[in-house]
Amino acid sequence: MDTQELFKKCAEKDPAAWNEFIRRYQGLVTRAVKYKLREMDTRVYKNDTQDIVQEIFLLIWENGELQRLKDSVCLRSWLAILSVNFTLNYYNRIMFRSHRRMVSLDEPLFREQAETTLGDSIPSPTVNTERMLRANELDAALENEISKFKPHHQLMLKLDIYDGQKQKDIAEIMNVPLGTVAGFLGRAKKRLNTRLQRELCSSDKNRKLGRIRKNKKK
Amino acid sequence: MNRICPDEKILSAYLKAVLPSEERKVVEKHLAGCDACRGLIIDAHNILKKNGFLKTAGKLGQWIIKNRWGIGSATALICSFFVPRYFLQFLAAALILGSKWITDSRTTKTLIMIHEAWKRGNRNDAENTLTRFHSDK
Repeated sequence: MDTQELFKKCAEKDPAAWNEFIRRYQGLVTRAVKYKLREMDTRVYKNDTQDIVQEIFLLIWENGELQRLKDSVCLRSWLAILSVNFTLNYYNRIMFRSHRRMVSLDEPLFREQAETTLGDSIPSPTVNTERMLRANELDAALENEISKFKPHHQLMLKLDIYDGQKQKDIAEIMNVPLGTVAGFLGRAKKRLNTRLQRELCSSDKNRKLGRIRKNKKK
Repeated sequence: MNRICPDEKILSAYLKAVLPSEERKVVEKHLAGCDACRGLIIDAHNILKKNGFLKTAGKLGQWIIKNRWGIGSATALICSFFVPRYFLQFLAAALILGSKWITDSRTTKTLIMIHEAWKRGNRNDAENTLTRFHSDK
């Protein structure tokens, strides 16, 4: 049975076709679930993976998701995205239900000593405020500069800078030639570099001027 | 930034490049501003890529992937004889890769599990593992 025929019969809820569908795509769904769980760095038992996989197939069957999927061409990618999304939601649900209880930092640490709060017990990390400020400034400036590009190019830049994807993968995800990606990223990064340097230099100058003015006032 | 995320069907159609250009532009605009959807697309791409690689690898490819540490160990051992200058280095590499191969293999893992169960004194657990081990074989 070819994919198109299988897809059609599954949409009509034919049990035999459905069994074949599960047999054929169980591997992909399991792999997607395991991939996401590994990425989230969670200790999940084999049974949990199987539970998630079963729930995914149940969701597809009960909600008649296949009927709404018009084309079987993107069936594999749809299953992968659906599995990743479902695993993420499942994990968040479990974490929220069983492990994590929200605790306020203003809550007293001991019942007898109401003045000592939980927040007081957390050691303050040694933070270089200047460096943090600079990093935040750089982030904001980078975001601002990226937003000046067209959406298509913004996506390319974000996949490269924020998500650390290889140029080959970016080309595959966006379905554009590798040369286009490489050429654009090379040019755009040069442009971003010069603009950010200019921006940060000017903000440094402003800060120094501000300090001088403050000192003079004192 | 558009906060209403497109559903999985649209994202998968984007990934498969079957969306009309107008819709494609809308999705790209959204993806540029939404970290979660971008994450989904990247994950799906990685899974399909991995899947494709394993699928196209064939039986020989899969055997190579499965026994990569063993092959590496054997190669290092052979090299130690052909490049006497780095004999010790290659020998050490062969030992490290070999131990990785042994500890990674399913049989060793099962034997460790049986041993741990015996140590804990849980006879049933050990017997179950042993039965599973024989049936797997």
